[in-house]
Amino acid sequence: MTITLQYPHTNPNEPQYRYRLIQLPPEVAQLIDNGKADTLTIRGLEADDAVITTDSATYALKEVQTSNTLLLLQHSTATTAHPILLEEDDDMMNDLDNENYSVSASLFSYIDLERVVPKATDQLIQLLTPSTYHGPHKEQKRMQGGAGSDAILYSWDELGGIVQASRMELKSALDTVGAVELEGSFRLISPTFLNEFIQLFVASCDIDEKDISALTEEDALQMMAEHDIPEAVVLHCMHLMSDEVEIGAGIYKLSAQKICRATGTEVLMQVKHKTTLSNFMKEWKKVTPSAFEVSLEYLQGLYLLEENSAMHQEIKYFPKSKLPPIAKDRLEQLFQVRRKWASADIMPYIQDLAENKKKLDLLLLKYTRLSKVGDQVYYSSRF
Amino acid sequence: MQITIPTTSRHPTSDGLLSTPTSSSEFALIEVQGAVESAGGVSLGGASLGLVEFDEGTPTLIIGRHKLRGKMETLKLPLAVLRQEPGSNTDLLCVIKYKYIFSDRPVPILSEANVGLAQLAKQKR
Repeated sequence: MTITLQYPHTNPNEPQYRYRLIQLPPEVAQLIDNGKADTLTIRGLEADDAVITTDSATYALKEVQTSNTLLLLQHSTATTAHPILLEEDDDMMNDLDNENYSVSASLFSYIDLERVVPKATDQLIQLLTPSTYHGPHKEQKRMQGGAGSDAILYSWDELGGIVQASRMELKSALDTVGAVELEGSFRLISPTFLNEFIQLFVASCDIDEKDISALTEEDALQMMAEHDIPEAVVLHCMHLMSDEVEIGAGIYKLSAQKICRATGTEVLMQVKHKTTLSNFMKEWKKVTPSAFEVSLEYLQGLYLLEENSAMHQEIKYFPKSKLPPIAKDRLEQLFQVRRKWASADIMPYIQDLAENKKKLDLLLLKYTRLSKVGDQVYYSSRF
Repeated sequence: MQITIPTTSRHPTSDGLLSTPTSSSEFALIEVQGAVESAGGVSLGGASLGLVEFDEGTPTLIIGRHKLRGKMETLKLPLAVLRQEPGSNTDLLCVIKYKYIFSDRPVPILSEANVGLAQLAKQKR
């Protein structure tokens, strides 16, 4: 059997195709093989390094140069007998086993895919903060050209073109930042408005004698009908402050954890520098509906405790969302705030840096120094 | 910006192997050492690159007066072939799992008509 290789004739009418080889990680190859991935998507703005996403994962592109030449061949039906065959080998001329391939491309590199954790939540906070929903009154003013009227609104498709994350990762990041889809655009809910809503909602439950551990969406819409808040926002806020008791049944129970975290965030954000823990707890209790018991564990990843000279514990607002998204930068900043972190204290601030515990441990190994006092693990800076 | 690459229209049977009498494959991948250049920098458009022959399953590549023995290799990770049309679609043509690699030192070959010429030259001297 003989295969004839030929460069294609340059045809000005044919588009100038560009060929690329992409090395597929096993899980991506498998998705394509099984027909589970109908599409791959290249995402990013011009200034970004492009990424490729499947439905659920994001991969960074890295070009790898090869020392050898890779010739991509495409089967061609045109029968062009090779001169050598004509002159020298009469047998081969009649050889039906002769196949023709044309050289579509000579390549000197391929693209390697590396799984990455997208910085979607940080990017979403940046994009969506200017258009935050602050309640019906401010929303009306915004519509009439007041504060926030020049903020850009983003639809699902528009976010997909900017945020370098897969569809599922983008969806989960939108959940994490608590964004609501309002008239086709994704909006953040201001913590102040969420608190007003919680007070109103819990008070309404009280007045209407509703069972706060068995509420329906219908109940919520009915109770909040007079407040001129869009239905999508009412339902979203209700979800932000409750847990669905039985998935799919549409029965919700107000969550102490979610409500206390919302009220606590609001109080923490108003603390100028720091305040004593006892002051804070008193204030927090005051703004939280009495049906719910406040507890510091609800505020994980939002505060730091320090001991002052009089041995009083002081608390300050220290939200994870304000830290840099890159692992090295974030750890550097954390070690500027504290030279040594107990494992339990630092975890809320670094957990999202890696996709699993093993990779997180590798990051910590690379950027931190580990020490032990008894059973307690501490991390300090490597630099 | 997002560029969607459909994977469903790819050639499912094209895994990088060259066609055989019993199976036809749309795409194949060949690896050679160095780069292919034309003498004098003439455009390669329409030019013949060479031949691949199979000698008891071993592929041999003949380029000009060089003969290279090679082997078929299974890729550690498969390669997707993307074709971008400027200002238009990007297509995934196929996923390649095998390649033919010709990394041996090229052996010079003489065509039938020229055999003996070297000896002739010797005698003249």
